[in-house]
Amino acid sequence: MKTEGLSLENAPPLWVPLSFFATAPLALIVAGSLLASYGEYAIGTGYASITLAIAHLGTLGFLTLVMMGALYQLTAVVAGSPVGRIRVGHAVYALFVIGVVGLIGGIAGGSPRLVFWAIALITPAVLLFVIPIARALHRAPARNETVIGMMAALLAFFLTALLGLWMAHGHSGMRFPGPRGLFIQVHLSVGLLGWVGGLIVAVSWQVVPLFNLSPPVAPAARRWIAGLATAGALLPVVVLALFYAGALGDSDARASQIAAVAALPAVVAVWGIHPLVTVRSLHARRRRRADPSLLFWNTGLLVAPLCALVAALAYVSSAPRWSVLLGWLVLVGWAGMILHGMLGRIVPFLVWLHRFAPRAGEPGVPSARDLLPDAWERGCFALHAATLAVGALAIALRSDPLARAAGALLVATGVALFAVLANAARRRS
Amino acid sequence: MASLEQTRVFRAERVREPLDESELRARIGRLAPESVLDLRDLPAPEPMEKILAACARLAPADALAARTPRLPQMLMSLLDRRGLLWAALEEADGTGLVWVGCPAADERSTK
Repeated sequence: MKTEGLSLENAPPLWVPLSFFATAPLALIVAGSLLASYGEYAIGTGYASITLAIAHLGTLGFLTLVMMGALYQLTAVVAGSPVGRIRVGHAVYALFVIGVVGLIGGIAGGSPRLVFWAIALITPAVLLFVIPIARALHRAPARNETVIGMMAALLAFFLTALLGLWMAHGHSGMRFPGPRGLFIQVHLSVGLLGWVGGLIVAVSWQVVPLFNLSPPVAPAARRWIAGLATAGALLPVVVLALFYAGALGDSDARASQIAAVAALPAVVAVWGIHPLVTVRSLHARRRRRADPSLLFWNTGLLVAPLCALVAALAYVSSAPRWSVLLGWLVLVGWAGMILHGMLGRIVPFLVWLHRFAPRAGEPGVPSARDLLPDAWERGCFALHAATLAVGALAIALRSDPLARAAGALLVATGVALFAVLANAARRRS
Repeated sequence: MASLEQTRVFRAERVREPLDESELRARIGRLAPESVLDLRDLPAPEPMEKILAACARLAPADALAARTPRLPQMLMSLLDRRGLLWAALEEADGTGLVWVGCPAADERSTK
């Protein structure tokens, strides 16, 4: 184990990751407001503009913002390699957030001009984010499963963004780049399994034992999961490339099916093996007291196999409810739960580390736990779990009142999360 | 992947003279039992919080030790900032063993 570079001096300024973390709950509030306003219409099909807007508020506005902030922190602290010109992170934040607001507004409001400007902002944000982090990871002294997983996730993010920006041209007054079903299939596979799943898996090897005192997962299992996840995330991109090269014939539907099957290794690894080994590890933890973050982890990990099941149903069934339910389970259940739980541990820790650790032991200096009391986090979990359940029921029953209730609960979850993060972030004494 | 034995590390940059592992263990063995904290059942960042809080109460020339769930890497730079001496090693089971010493008053003033 190399320890070079692992020090507080390597960590980015507090507000680089914190700006991303603190903004993410606002996306939940906007997504919930849209769902509460549009009700059943927003969950009827995955192709409605409003559904697309809500989905991207979840993926870009919540998940990706949290993961971008986390990568700035983890690259420096876990990989031991500080990101060069770290203050460019503030520009990335501004470009990305404004771009995402424009993209969502443009899609929901049917404004090609807004989508066009959003593309112009998100493209440099992605490049200014990916290039310095890739360089930092490349020169990292540590070469463990977490660092390699972070590299793979970053590549998946780049590919997801590339495909997404390419497809967004279809909403900006230009032509959609190719067969819609195939593009969406590949975009979803590489984004949800490679970017979101890849980073959750890679980071879990570090944060789960760190915060729960659970035994580490066996290195062989980690390598298998990483290999399958990366293969399943990248193979659909290869299928897309082969389709363009004419190697798969000219049937769009067949190419989409092949792309879906190509993602299978990642589905098995990310929604099957990883939850299994992580739940087993958490079950064997030394510390028997259950922290609230454990509730988030356990729920997210239990929803993961359901995602695989519903993905299979969405593949074989033409009913749109399965693909909408899959999106809900992935965004609110699996990844949403896990990232929400991680925010509840990481934000107080970062604030404490930057502001209070140098004075720890002096009278009146709070602990990290004081910055986010357990009771508050349990309240956040209750709201999030209720949102998950009511939203899933609304989709299954195609119920308008339940869809609106799920939207209201999502707003409440976002408000509660924002309040606890803001409370931790503003503490200076 | 390296074996646990291979991953064992020893850090002694901030002690006055380099320590070997046996000397570090002997130094910890000479401490009063209440000066050796067992923090192995605490999740992050509680071990770091407890060590820093205990360090704040160290008198010049005093020392303490702590057993931690893992090598507390971020702690080292915080100890450096406080001008404390420290040495740490990773045990074969992955837990950490940390020794922290407060320099004598005259040493601190000449730093």
